[in-house]
Amino acid sequence: MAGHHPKSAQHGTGSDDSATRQRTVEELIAKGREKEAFKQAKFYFHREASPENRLLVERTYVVRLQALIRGGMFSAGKEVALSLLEFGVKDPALLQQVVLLLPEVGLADKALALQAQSPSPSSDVQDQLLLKLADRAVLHPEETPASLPGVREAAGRVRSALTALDSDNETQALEFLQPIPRSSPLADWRFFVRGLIAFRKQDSEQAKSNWDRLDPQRAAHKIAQTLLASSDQKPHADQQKQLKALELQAFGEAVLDRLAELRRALETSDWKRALQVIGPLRMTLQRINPRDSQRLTEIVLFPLSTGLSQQSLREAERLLKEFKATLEPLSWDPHWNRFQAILWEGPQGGPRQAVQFWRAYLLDLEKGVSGLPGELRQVQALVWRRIGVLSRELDREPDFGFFQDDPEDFEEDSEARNQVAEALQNSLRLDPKQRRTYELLIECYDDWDQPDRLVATLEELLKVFPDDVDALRQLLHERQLRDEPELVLSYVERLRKLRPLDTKLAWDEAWGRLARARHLALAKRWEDGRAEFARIESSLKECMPTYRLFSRRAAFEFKAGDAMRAEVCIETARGSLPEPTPLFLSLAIEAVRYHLSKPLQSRFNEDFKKALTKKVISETAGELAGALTGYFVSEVEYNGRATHVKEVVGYLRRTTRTKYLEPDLQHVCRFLQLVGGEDKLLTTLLKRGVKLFPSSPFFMLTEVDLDLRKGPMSVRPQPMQKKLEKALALAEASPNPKDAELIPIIKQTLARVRDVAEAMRSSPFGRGGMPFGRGGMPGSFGDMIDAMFSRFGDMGPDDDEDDDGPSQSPRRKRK
Amino acid sequence: MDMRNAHETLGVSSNADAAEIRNRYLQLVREFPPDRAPERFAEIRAAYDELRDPSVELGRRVFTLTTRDSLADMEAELRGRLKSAKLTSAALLSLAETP
Repeated sequence: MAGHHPKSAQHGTGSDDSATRQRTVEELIAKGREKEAFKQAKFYFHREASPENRLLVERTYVVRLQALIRGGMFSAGKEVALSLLEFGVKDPALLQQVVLLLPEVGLADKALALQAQSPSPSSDVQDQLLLKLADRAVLHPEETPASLPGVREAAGRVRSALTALDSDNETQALEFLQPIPRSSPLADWRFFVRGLIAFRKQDSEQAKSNWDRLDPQRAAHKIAQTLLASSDQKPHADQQKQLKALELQAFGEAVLDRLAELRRALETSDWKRALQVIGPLRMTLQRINPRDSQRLTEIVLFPLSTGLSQQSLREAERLLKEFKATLEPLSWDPHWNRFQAILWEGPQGGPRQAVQFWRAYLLDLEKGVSGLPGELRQVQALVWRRIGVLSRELDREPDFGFFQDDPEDFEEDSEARNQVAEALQNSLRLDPKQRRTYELLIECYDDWDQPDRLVATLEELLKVFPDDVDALRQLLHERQLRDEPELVLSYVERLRKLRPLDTKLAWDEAWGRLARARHLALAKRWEDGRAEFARIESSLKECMPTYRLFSRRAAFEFKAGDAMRAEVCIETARGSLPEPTPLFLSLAIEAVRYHLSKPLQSRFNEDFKKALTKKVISETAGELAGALTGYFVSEVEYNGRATHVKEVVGYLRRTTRTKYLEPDLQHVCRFLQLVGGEDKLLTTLLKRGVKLFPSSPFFMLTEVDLDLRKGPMSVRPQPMQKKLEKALALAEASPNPKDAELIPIIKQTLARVRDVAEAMRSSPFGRGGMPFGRGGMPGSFGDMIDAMFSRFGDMGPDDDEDDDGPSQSPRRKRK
Repeated sequence: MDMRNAHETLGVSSNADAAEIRNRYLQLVREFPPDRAPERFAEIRAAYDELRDPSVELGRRVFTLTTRDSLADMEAELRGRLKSAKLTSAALLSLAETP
């Protein structure tokens, strides 16, 4: 026996006095070691069956019984209670306690019997026992002593009322309760049932007013408190227990505390703990509601992706593997390909790997997935578009040898471009209504200088979106570049219906009619051609300087063989200019374009050369530069253009001290910027522009642009930034709308310069190293300059009279 | 512009419905007409175009991992489910004997 005794008991001696023994047992009880205390007391009693030791055994029996009831171990409690009854309870105070505990372990009869044996029964205990038996009769009617028929009947009513509520029959439930008098020990349950009806109707006030009347010692109060725990957003420790009990009944197991634990783990990036929680939580959620398991995955993916991006590649791969094994994959991403594609699109990933995963995801989609957030074809189309966009990034990878890890990683342009185009076209086949996909394809063809495909895509877009103003404008411009006046005029007509107040369309119409007149002349349809001129003169003459209209009319009449009419036109044109130099240039150009005779061509060229020798003036410089800029922007090629450019540049070289007017100097700078190779002259004139017109943002912006075009070695970010910031301030303060139009260009340039400055700071090569990342410089110079030219090209009808410089679509970036 | 920025640009909540978005857009256009504030107008227009295009929302679902859902939402929802759970009388009575 000694071997079974607690360690402390083995060391106990017969010399222990009563107080020591009692203290030893009480200490064990205080430490929550009731079972040990019980054994210790029994040990003492076996050694010496004194009344004190007996009392200790009785006391530890009761404590043990209480502990088992608290822990919900009623069967074990019943065994202990029976053992206690067998042992006998001599202490009157303990006996009263035992009487109240016995019903809770299903020994109601024994409780009544014990109470009856009590030498001095307390009326208070008697009342409490009755209430306990009443509750017990509701919870376990089969245990109700036969001696309490009233309690049994009333408890039956309470149970019937609750059963009626199971079938939502509230009226019947209340009817069942009606006969229970207020004085009945079951009266508490009436309040409980009424409160329950209100609680289920979400009438908190009514529920509370009924449940507040419940006796805190009664079973009904405990049930009510458990139900109320679900309403508390931040339940305290006791409520947590109640909530768990409720979860066990409602869900079969507890889940809320595990969700909270996962939340904490994710908030602190404790991935190990998160993984530990997710596994069992996922199983639980699947049982409760399979959709919640999917929700869990969806919620965890974002913090997981952020966490993975902060790990080393090896650690990230390990974590990813573990999470893939633990989380349930989304039904519409069954093999995690979409997730991994997105991960690879992140800052530490790479478009090439992302494309591979997106392609794998397309295969998943083809095989069939469920729960897609949209229609399958739409999703497929979006994924193809994504592949197109990423492939385009690959196509744009900088081709700087010393920045490339492996040159073979970069495919030939054409192959990469084919992949881009193929992906975008696949996307459009699946969903032809994706405007953005058309736009991307158009941007690509524009960037790659593939005008035929560009036009074909624009026309496809127009089939789906016939009122797309941008597409119409861009097509109009493409047709201008191709010298197709009939189509230009048809687009003008369509645009006019959509934008009746657009004044630039008059300019486009004038361009179309002039071009049509030339075509008619070449086809010898003189009267039709004259009709076009008549229409321009009657309603469109404001769209261009008089001399440019009449120089063309003169060329037309020469072609038609009416020299006299032609000379009249020349005279009219001359009269509109301070000096005829620009007219002679225009005549020389149009003579070639109208295929006039060699003598006529020579005459106008001679006139032009002679006029160029005169003293330079601002108006002529501006007009000559503006006229040639128009031909450049429109990509009009003609024999002798290079000579004309050379001659005009020669004239402009003599203007470095000319007292320029602002618009003329702007035309000149723009022209020099366009033809290139005249940096010194352009620099001088820009400086002059800044000096003469300090409030103009144009010259400052163009100065920066010129420096940028010289290449990375000329980039001095700080002064450039300062200049651009000043230009921006001027443009924003300027009342001139043309200055305001420069604002986005200045901002774009400023952003690029800041990027360059940042890259230079972080570049191991320092200044003059290679500060350009993907999509950065120097490739981006072209974009910016194109953007600027397209802006200049837009200066059509109001104050920029370049009749050959059609307006550029916002999309147009042709190099 | 991502979806969140679009909502921010228009100054509407992420749960705003189509009518609310349109009303706000029209209000902003009156405030920033294209002739007086072309840049701001362009931003507003781009945000509006984005929010009214259903494919943008689909793209957000497919190409981003962000979700408007959260563990806190899930907890709240489960708590709500718990609150409205209609326990049988037997389950209800068993709550009286839970430890």
